[in-house]
Amino acid sequence: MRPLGRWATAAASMMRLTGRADALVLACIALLVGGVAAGIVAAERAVGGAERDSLELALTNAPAESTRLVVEVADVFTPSGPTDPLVVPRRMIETAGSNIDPLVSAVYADPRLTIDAPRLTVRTVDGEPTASPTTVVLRVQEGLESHSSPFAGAEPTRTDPVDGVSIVEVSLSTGAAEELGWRVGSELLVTATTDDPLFRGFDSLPDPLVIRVASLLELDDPTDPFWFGDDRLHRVIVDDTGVGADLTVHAAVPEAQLSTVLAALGGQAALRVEERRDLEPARIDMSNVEAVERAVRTTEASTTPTAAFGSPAVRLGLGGVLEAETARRGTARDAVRVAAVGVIAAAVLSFVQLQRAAADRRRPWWGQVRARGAAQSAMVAGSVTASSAAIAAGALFGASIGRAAIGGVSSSIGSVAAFVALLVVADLVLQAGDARIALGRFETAGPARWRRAGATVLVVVAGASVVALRRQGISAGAGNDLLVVLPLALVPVAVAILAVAVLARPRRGRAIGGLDLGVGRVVGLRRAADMGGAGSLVVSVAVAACVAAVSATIGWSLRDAFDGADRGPLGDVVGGVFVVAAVAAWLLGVAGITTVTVITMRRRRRDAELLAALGADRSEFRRAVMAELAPLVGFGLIVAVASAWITSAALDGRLELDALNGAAFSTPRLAGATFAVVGSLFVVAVVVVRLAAARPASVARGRSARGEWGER
Amino acid sequence: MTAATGARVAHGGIVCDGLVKIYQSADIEVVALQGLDLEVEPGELVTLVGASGSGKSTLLNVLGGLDKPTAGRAVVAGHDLMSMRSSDRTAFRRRAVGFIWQQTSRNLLPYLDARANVELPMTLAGLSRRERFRRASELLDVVGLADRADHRPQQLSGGEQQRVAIAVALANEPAVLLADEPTGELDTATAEEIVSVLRTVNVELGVTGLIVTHDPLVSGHVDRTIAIRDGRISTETLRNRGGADGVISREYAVLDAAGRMQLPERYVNALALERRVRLELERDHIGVWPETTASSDRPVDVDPDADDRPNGDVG
Repeated sequence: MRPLGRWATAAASMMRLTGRADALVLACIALLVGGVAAGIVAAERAVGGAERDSLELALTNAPAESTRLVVEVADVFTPSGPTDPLVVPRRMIETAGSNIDPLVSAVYADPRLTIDAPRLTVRTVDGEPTASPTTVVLRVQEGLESHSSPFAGAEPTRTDPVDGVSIVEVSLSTGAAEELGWRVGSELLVTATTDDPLFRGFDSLPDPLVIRVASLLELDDPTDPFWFGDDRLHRVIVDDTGVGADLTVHAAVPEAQLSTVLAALGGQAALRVEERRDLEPARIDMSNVEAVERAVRTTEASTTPTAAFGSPAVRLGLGGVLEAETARRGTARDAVRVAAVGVIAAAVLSFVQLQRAAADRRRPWWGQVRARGAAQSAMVAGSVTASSAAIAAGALFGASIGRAAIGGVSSSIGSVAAFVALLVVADLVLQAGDARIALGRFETAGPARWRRAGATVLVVVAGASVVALRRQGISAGAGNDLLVVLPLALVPVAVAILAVAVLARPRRGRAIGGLDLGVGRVVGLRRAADMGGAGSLVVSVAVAACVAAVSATIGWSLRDAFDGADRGPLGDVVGGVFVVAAVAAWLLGVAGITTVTVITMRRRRRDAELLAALGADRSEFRRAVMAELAPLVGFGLIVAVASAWITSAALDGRLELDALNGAAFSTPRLAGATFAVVGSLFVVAVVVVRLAAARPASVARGRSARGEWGER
Repeated sequence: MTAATGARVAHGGIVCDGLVKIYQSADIEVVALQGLDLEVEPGELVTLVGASGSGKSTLLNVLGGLDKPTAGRAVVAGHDLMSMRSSDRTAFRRRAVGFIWQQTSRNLLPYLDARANVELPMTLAGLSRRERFRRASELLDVVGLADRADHRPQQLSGGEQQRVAIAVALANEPAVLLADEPTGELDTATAEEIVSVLRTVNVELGVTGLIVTHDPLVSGHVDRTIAIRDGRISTETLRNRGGADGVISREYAVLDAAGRMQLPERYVNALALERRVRLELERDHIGVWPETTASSDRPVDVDPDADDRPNGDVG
């Protein structure tokens, strides 16, 4: 067989051996990865679904003026032009519309025109002067006939001038007519209003003309989208001047009569033409919202919102709505990322714990396999492949569960893949290290130096992440970098590293010195002082405690802050994600410590057997358990509380969640620390129960033991 | 047990009389010791050999107070193991016996250095710090590791770890030292060292030693080797070191209190003995024949090289 073939065979054998020898560890890894993958997929899909709902809600509930697209043209239209007087306005609107990005146009409904003639001052009504200054605006509203019904009179028609005075027939709404006391047949003598900007471009004003009320119309509900929020045909506009009231009434003119109006104005036919379009909210979704927002901004930059003669205006309020929603989405994503980073950190540390515990079981048979000629690379490859298979199976299963649990639209494959890749790389590094140790190529100075260097870098990065968070905060659209979301993961680890550096040496010295403390206590203390195992156990529990403490306080505070406020779907989900993250972190911590306790029970069993053979009684074993636990608990509590405090302080005021429709938010530091203490005590209780169940009688001899510890 | 035997046992002797040990694993009962008889004189160094599963380690665990016998009688250094309570057995393990396992890593706590490991049993026995220190130094000196007292197990070689383990086992001046394949994980040279140390402590400290082993090297260093088969003592090999011809060893079948004895397996196989054999009492020995063979038949040549045949005709 070729060397490569031998290597592959060895690797495959190692994979099978790992599967059998490390079945418990692999099952734990698969469970761990599955749980976190399910969480990632579920959270991402929940947030994705909330984003979709939030966008829909924002577009549906936005004020009408924020969602309309209006193209306004103001110009002079001479009778010498085309027969259809709207040809020129339409052309101008079309020209103006070319500056509107097609993506923007695509999300709006079909356009409709509203054409207003200049304001005309009413001099008399049926020969009588008006009681208050009154002006009339002649309006052509496209599609009016389908949103009104005749009440009295007949549809306005073209009327020839009488005695050289032009006559224009109009329709009034019943509401306006009633307010003014006008009726069908009323004739208004009107003149041009000098202060109307539409007339300012003319050398002379048009002659007086007569407006005759030809019909009264019942108009549809003014809140109907057709009216575009413009109810000026429905009622009289009253402008209180302080010494009286100026009245303005809009009178409807059929589109077919527009040429009559132009003629009546004697060629002085300046018109204000608006093309109005309503937003179709359904046409904007998560797939195109960012592109639409960019298109809106491009359109705003290339147009002007105020019309002037010859200069069309485009009024587009959608940008503000989309920008607010983007900010909301970004803040939610960043806040969720903070929680996710914490949970993933706790998961990775639990994973590392599992692998460290597995290494103890692995070393003996690795040595045997090595002695039978397996290459180190084949051993690592086979073992990593087995672990990777467990990771992949867990990820696949977890992702499926998460997908089934939450019906959303978001894709989470990338996040899960990144998480799995992280674990596989960590696995490769750990197992390569284990192989070196198992095969006796381990130089104490080397790894210790690397550990110190790595720990120093980690502490520095943790400090930088806190500074970055304090400076940038997690805020709407800030484009936060990775450092900002890392404190929740890095601070506990950094605190633990520093605490180990400060506390480990004196604690170890004390443990060495004190056989007078009693055999059990010494053994327990020495086990606790083994920072390779116990220290990292403390770190993982502290990370879990810190993540849980901060997440829980944020989650609950968010819910409190949102109470009574319009929190919206994103606010709900983000609050929920933090609470779920808190629970997940605790579960990881508890599951991690209990699993490692079970897996490392072999060492305790060995100690128990030896102590029993030396004549130690049961109380010594109890003392060993308590002496092992006490420093771990104390140390874990210190690290957890300090981390929760520091992380809360770093987050305080930097988590600007008001973008999620909530009130301004700050993290209550004391609550986080308190939560850490309470939670840690819970972990302690779990560990005590675990260890108490691991009495030598059951550990050393199995459950069928005769009941005496160390004996059968 | 006679009065003389009782006195000997009280000073470190071992006596087993019809010792039975039955393990229950799930629904299966395993009879590990089937009425075993054994007598070891105080100060004697004896090895115990036998195939895997023959009951050697079980016997050692019973004698060490780690397992409770099911029936029969076992007295070690004056302690009747059958009648002891749990607390008595704890005190027995603490004071009366020392135990050494095969796995070097199993004998010592990895968290403690060599001196602390040796002091640990003395701490359990309540000795003062000064006394512990003095005795630990003495013991480490006896096993040749005085200069390695502050080394942790992982900083010691396998042989050094076993030597520390012997010092730990001797910490409370036990009358009996029990070792379960103490050289099983060691190379020949290191095994020689360990055997030498065991002989030294046996001679100098007068400790009774019972060593389970598969290693002929270890057996060759003691005066008596007991073979155990199917939970019973099968044969004993005695070695005489006083002669001009060097060591003369001879294997004896063991007759138990009920007059039963086991024939060595190779004898049984060589003559295809099955179920029933014919015995004939001669003037100074007993002849054993297959059921169908006439007494006048010539004896079969069993093993021309064997000089350890039981004392008596097997024809």
